[in-house]
Amino acid sequence: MDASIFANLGLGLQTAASAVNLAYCLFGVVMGTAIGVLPGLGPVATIAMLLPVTFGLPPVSALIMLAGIFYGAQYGGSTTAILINLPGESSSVVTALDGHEMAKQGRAGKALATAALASFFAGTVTTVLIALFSPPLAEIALKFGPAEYFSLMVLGLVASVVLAHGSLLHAIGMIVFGLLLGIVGTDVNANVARYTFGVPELLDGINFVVVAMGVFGLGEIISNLEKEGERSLLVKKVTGLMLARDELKAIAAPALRGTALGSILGILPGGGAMLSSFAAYALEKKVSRNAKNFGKGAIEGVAAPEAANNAGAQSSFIPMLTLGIPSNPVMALMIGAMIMQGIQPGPSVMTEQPALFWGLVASMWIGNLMLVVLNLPLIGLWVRMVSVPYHFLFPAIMVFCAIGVFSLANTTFDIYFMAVFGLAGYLFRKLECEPAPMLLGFILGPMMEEFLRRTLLLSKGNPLVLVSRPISATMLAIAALAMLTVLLPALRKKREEVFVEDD
Amino acid sequence: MVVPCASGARPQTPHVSATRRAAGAAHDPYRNRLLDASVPAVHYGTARFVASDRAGSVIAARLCRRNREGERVSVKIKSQKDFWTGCLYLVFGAAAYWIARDYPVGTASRMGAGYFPSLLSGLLMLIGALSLLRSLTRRGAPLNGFAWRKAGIVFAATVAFAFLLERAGLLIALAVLILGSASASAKFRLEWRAILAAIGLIAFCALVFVKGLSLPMPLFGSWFES
Repeated sequence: MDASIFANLGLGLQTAASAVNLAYCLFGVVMGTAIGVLPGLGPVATIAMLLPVTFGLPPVSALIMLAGIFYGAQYGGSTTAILINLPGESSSVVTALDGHEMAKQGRAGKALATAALASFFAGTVTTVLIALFSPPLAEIALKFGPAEYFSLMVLGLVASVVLAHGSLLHAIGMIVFGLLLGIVGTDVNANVARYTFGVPELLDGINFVVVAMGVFGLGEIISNLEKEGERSLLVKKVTGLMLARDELKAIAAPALRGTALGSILGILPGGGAMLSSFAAYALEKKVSRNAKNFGKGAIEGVAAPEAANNAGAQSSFIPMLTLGIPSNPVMALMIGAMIMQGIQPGPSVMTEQPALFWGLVASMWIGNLMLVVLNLPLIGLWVRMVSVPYHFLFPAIMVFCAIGVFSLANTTFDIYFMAVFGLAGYLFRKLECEPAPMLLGFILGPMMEEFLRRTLLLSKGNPLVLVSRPISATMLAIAALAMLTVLLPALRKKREEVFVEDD
Repeated sequence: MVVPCASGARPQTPHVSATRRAAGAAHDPYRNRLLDASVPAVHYGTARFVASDRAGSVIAARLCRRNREGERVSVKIKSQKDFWTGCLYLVFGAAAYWIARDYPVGTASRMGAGYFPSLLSGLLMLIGALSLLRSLTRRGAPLNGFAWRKAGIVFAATVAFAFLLERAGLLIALAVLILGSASASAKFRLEWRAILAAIGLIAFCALVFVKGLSLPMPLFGSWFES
């Protein structure tokens, strides 16, 4: 087993270290950071915006670049959080607590270096974890029938709302709404056009990039404009990047704990970066000897959540690559990108396209290395980008969204649709309906219908097969249990506590 | 805000009327609007919110319903977010259900095109109803005012870009999109720096997307063709 892992990683390195793929990885990481660093732009919007760029590439290069964009954007978000206390995405909210405090004390360089080192450490560990755990998981998944897949998707969707914050009822509603949106288009089995209103552009369904850019791009812009306030960039020039030896010692244990927590939570469907960083910060606050300084610029308070969010972000690739199940909107976008490249996500990717799978895994480590090597010297550039005022920024974002959406199918129809989804996204935010579960439902909708169809066809219409097959029954039981625990008052309080850490 | 009630009707549950459309929907314009399936439901969702916003941002919404003796009593909505989300889910669910009637449902062992959509829209209506119920029983954070002007500008600028792209061409469409959307920001001033930035961005897009990536976007559209 061990030997084959080295052989696999060797193959991966070979693929990822080819000059072309290295270049795309670098391009992805740099673009991801550059856009992620811009205030108010999270990884989802960044990936959605840059997705059209990858369409012309071969699948391996496209996925490597997208992965690079992802952790680049993640890292960029932390930079923004530290420098101007304006986290671009929810997972760096906790980084801002102590990171920004450090910046106020003139230790911005140290905070950024801590974030970079902790992320790199977590990235290295998680790459190994992915290599270790993916093959056995995929092996199990290969035995899955349609019933198991259907239940797995139910579990994934349920978990994604249980672990998200906000109203459970609304989140489930958003999932169902997303599933319905995913149905729009031609039903290939019956050759019936559904919810197309006679519009020919809708026959192929709604492109998920249009939804993502509308809801996460335009919707986010409107939200940001609403609370357009003064932003103060404290740090004009970042110096003092080097960490002293005792500081390195101080961040070692938190980074390790953060990595462990992040990689476990990231594997869970619905987990990923945000939950990981919140949980890691909460844990660190409990166990750290320096706990009293948390919130006042404790370096441990930067290391732990940063390690956790990077670990969580990367280990969320595991269910995506082995099961074909997205655990968060970013993975939903990755799955969408794979489908557009003609790859059916699922356990067979590993056996049918080993170069693609292992190339992607190896590129994650390379990408993380690039982040550390590049970002610390480039910090001056990022500081300058952070300080671009938002009212100069968002029209440019809109331009790239509009042109990006147009380039999907070279039709202006998609731009109109994106505008509608932008309004919808803003509305959802106002009503505290998380748009992320909707995107998951949207991607999974057609797959779920197909698996349900096959399940019921095999069982001659008996839905009980979902609970009589052991694996499927277990997954549904876990889903039910997860729902119940959230509804129980004691645990609900706990869950709220975890998410209000930023007060 | 007071939701207008047609004599004893319960506007918060449009799905009830979806099944009894023939019975007395005719005199209730609001219900008719909801059920007109030929138009996407999206408009209704937003249209109603616009109306609610105008009535005031802090809404003390009251519903009319009849008690056992047949007298009108009003029920206080305790959570506006739950209320409007419930409405939204109900409207979408009902519309989706209504449209899916035309698709063959099939049997469980041979699912037709309408099977899954009917299932889902039923579920969405159920969730909507639960949310409405909860809005009457559990207090929630009030709904703060909507930034309709900003949302409208962003929406309009995007739509204008789509409309102008092939007619007026990329250069003009971009100028409209950039300067139009920028006006949504309170900090935007039409000064030389802004115009210079806009020109730079337009030039960048023309060079990269049209010359470089050769996307089929005309620099000057059909309006300029003689």
